[in-house]
Amino acid sequence: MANPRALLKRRGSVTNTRKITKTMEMVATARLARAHQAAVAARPYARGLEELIVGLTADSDSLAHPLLSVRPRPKKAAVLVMTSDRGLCGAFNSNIARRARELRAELAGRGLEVEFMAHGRKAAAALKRAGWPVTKAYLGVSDKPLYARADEIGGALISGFLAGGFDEVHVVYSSFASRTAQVPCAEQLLPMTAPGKGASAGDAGSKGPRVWYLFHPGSGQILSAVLPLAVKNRVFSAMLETTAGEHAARRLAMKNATDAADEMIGSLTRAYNRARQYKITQEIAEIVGGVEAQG
Amino acid sequence: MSDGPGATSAGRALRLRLVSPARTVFEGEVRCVVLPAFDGEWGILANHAPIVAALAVGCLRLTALDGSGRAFAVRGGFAEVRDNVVTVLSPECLGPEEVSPAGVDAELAGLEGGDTSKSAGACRDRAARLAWGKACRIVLGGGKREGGA
Repeated sequence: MANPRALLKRRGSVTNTRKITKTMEMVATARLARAHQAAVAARPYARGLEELIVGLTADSDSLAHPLLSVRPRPKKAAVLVMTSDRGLCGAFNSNIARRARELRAELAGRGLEVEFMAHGRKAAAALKRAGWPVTKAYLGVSDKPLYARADEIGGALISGFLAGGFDEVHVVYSSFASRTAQVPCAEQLLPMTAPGKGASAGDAGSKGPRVWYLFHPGSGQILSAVLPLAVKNRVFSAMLETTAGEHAARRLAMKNATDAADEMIGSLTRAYNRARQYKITQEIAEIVGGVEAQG
Repeated sequence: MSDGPGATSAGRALRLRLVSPARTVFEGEVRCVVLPAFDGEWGILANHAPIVAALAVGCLRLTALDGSGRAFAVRGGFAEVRDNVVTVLSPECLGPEEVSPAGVDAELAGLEGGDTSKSAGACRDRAARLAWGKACRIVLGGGKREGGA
């Protein structure tokens, strides 16, 4: 039978760990609420841009733009991988890293040379571990997604794409499906697939008579101004969703850890009580034995 | 709902939605909006024709239903007018509460030391920053233009 004092000490350390995990769970819950709110607040802008592009592409079928045109023989691809900065959030980051690996294999299968950009410490670490080239790493960024940073990253990707540095740009991030489910996903950023291009006919039918806008300046110029904004906003919403996903994953991981600690504390308490009782029983037996021997 | 100007029979109220990537900055009914369009300022009243306009860096002013004025600094973007709803999408859009006077003064002071930019891109960039600083100043001044400008 184990030493009661050692059991007590062990129970003490598990109790301390439980305090930490419980606190982290509560912090993650609060941050998740905030991150979720931010993601919801960002929707009108994304929807507005999308509707604008749909309206523009519906206006004329012949609209062409370098950011929309698929290169005939793509050679190089840039992949932006987004994770959290901190760990202790279950399989969240490793799921994203796995998705990045799959995407890399897929691109390599098509004969593309892949270079990476990391957003978040864990992404940088995972890419470094895999030994893949990282051209730029943004660290310490996952706590507060800022549009200014999305603007910078998006701007760098667009100018690299237009200059011919790479022929395709992809982003790997965690899509925030719900508070309990985060789906790692890969999306093509450039060349852009115009939203609603395929569905525009059905859309027009459901939205009633279409509106004839006057475009100032021409629709072509508006399109070339709106597409970069749309790309940057894709980066921004990926940032928002990854952050929300991080907190959701951490909340779940910490809740599981707290539950496991509760269970351990229970079983350690039982073991301690048993050991204590055993010791008392043994002492009584010894005393009784001693008395009997004297009598 | 039908096409063309003046076709909507809804009242005279014009609805303005001012949307930045992170949030909706302003939403409400207004009497009139002045947009900083790429080619100058445009006044929009109710029953305007459907239009999409590119915006410059500048100051957006509105007159509320009670006649009071308000201004926002807008860093480019687009305005869409349709069915008496003006939707402004802008990458950055600040109201008077969010503009820091000290920051604007420092920014403008940094720019006023003569034009040292070499390339056309740097020159454009500088012009945009100057316009932004000035717009912020107008916003801080409650939407009134600077003397004689």
